[in-house]
Amino acid sequence: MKMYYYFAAMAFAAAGLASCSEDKNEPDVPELEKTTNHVYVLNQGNFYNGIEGGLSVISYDTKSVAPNVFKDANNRSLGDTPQCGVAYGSKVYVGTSVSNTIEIMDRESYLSYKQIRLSENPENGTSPYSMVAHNGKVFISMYDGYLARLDTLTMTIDKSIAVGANPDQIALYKNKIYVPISEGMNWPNYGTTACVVDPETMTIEKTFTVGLNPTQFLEADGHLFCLCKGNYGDIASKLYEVYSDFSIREVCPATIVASYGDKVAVIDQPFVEGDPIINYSLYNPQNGEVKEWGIERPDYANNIFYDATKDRLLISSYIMNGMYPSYDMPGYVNVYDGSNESLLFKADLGAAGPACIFTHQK
Amino acid sequence: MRKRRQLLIPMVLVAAPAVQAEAATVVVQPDSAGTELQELHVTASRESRELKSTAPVHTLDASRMLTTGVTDISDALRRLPGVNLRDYGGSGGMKTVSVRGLGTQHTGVLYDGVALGDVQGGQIDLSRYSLDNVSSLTLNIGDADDIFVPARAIATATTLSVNTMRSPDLMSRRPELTLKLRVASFTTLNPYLRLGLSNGSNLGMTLSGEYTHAKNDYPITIRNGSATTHERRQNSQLNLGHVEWNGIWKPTAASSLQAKAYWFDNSRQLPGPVTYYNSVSHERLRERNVFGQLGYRTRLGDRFSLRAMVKYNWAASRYQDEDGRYPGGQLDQRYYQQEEYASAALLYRPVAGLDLAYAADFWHNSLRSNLNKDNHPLRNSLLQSLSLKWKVWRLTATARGLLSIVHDKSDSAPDGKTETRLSPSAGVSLQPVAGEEWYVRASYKNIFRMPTFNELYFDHYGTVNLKPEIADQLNVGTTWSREVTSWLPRVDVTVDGYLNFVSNKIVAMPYNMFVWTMTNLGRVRILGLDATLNADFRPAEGHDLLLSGNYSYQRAAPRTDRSMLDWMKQVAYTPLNSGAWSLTWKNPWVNAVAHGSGCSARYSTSNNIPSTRIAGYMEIGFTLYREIQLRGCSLELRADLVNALDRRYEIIARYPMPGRSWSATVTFRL
Repeated sequence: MKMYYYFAAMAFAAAGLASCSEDKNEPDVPELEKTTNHVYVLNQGNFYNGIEGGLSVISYDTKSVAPNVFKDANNRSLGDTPQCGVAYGSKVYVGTSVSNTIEIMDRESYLSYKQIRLSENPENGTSPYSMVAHNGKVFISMYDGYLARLDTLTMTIDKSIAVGANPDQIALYKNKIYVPISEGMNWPNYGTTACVVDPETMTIEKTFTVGLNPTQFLEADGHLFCLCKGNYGDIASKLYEVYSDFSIREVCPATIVASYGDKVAVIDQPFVEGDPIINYSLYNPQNGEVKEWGIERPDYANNIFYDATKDRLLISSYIMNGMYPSYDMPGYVNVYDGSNESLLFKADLGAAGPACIFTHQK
Repeated sequence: MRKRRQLLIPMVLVAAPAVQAEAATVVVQPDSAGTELQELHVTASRESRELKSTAPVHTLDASRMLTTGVTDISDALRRLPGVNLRDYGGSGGMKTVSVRGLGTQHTGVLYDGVALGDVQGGQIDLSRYSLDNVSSLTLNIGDADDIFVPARAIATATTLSVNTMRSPDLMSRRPELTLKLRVASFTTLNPYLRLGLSNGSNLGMTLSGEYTHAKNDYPITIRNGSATTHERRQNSQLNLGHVEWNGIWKPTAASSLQAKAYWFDNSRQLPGPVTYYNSVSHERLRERNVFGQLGYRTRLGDRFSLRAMVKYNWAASRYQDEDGRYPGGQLDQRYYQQEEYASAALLYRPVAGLDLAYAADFWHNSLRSNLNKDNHPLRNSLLQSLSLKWKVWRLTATARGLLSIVHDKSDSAPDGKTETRLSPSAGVSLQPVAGEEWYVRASYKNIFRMPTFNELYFDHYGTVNLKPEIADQLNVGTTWSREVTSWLPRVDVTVDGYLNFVSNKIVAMPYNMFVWTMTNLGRVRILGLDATLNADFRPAEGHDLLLSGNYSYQRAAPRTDRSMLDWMKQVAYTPLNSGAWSLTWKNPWVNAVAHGSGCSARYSTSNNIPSTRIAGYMEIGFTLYREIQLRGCSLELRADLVNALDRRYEIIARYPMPGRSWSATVTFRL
């Protein structure tokens, strides 16, 4: 039985390599003209309740959702707890943090080119948490302490470095990779550092201090920001601006942030008991102003994404279970016009745990 | 002979642990006061208790477990009506029970009449008990009719009593020896030894020990879209050891002193839930438990009886997970629990048929850990119960009041918090027709459970101001037994309908994916029916056909708030229909049993999302056994085919149960 499984796995891997060999022998670089009028949403599902996640595609044109496109195309699951993704060149890359895979699929047909099982080579890092693409490579923060670089041509991890405990949402800023070292698994002693990695040499160029529990870097209008989630108790989650000398300045309380054109979209849903006051605001890096954001709010926001190429703003949300958000029931995404913030339509995802929204990366 | 029996009866009476002594052949079964003594076969006494009790009670003794082909503790629990087993699969998988939809933490476990406690998680993992040393399992729903028990024994909505093998015959100097060896699929090896000694008059002891090794790498089937893969469960090995010593001394005919020392060590790997594309798991759990207890019982004249008990319990658990995500590449969590427990009870019989009992229990719990944020929680519990039992005409009535005072204290709540509650219960059983073994019964019980230390103090999870969770149980039922003809010497039927309410239910609700909190949010209404049937057919001399079955219907509906998504749906992991059956052919050659257990579909979430539906199952097995009497000793041979149809199913989502397996057991008794 074991041998049978082994041969089956080998056959599967061989099929993946065959697919790989059919791919173009040229660097997989973005072809924006091929970008279609849609956006991808990863649904985490709920692993411990046996609810499968998947990849959904929201069409701006039809205002409809194609749920679980990967499973439909490949007749198999994307994996447990899809965590991060990026669409780059002709492919979509998705990391699953529990299955510990990186799935590489065609961006049109969603047919799998290759599945990388990270637990089979844990020295490159496991538990992928976030991805950015740059210059023919996909960079992946691995929650076990690594930053890995995936070559989009060979579809293999060509380099991986240790960066610190539990790196979270990375960002590309001025051709460097910024990595927040959250130390989230060392609670309550969360981390307070981040590092800068050169994507070419894959070396750490700088380590600097940020707020408590850094979980996300983002760039907006040429400025760099870091979201630090505090201790989920008496130290609140806040957004900080990071300056060129690596000093930081507190911007405002925040739990969800995203770049939105030349501004930063901020949602603050405090992690406190009772009935906390939820604030939506926009931060203008040019003048340092934080203004109330009057956008039509979803039930309980989970993520914000701004699709600059189509000028669409998306906010994913859980549905409410009484007073609390439901992590079992399918979530939805509100799609807004990016220019006037009017709600264009609500896309029901058909799957639980909307986690990550992305479109083709430049 | 007559005189000797009269002497023997009270001696055995006081030796009986928890007033539930049961022997393989003939025992003396006392009532609460210990003054009305009857000599009955154990099966008759069990049936009598089940028929006459004011609240449902179901017993599986060792003999019945053998004749109905019960293979392990998990199988035994499934043969009890109203029990909803949560089984994480395999011999190493955690097994807890929820009875009549009340939740696992409303089920107390008594080990030889003394309550086991887990103040950290509030539920007892029953996988630690093999059936080797168990003489009977008894499930009491509501209060048992026996009122001469510790107050703590009635402090839960339902109790599962695990009773170990009886003390040796004190009248005999002959050593009692049991040697058992079980081998089974998936590299399972389970030797067991029990030695009983006595001085031939008033002093006796037993020493028992068991060891279990199981690799537990059973085949599993993973369905992923259109693909089906066949793998084996990995990282699932189990090594369990258990040694227990029991001593008894009877200084007088009316008193006895009993002692128990218990050691348990279970080191197991945890395979975790089945994960697509990733079977790697490095989780391990080691649980150790040591306790010692001393109990004293005596009669004080004709009207009073006294029992007292002290116990010290130490338990440790260590959970390890090697994973690069954790600091240092490993999660290593160690928890240590201690409990000091004292109990005393006084029984008074002012007139024949009327018993009054008062019991007072005090115990102290503490929990320590190596977590970065250890709150050092402490709990002091003082419980007092006043009980009445009245037998008049063809009526038996019981009434109880339980006063509970519980004081909690921790670093995060240094001033502490005291919870005081009065919990009433009552039951009545009526025999409508004289001479007919037909009874109708009704009972009510109000009880609560305190929040566990995890629910109160665990970082990012606990809430210190939680209130107790309340359970109200109403039961109405009937029992009937008859000797029909010579070829149908016995038929027993019990049918009970019930309505339970759980309020202030403690549930975990999310602030976000990182921060969950425990709240007293939930309300649940459970409407159900339990039925049992036992029938003995005797088609020919030396041949018996024994039919046994139980069926349960449970409609457990959350009723917290109409705005909640689970409003009036079915509570997670609660099947509407469940049951078990067995058919035994006893014959002069090799006894044969066919048996099965199963349930209808369930959901892994209370929202009843279609994708979380877990299919129902029926597991069928076969048992052959034969006891061979030799000179002064016996040899029992047994073979089991478990899950004979190789049904692949899950009780908990993503924790597959083993498919077809076998086991062979040889037991030698001297």
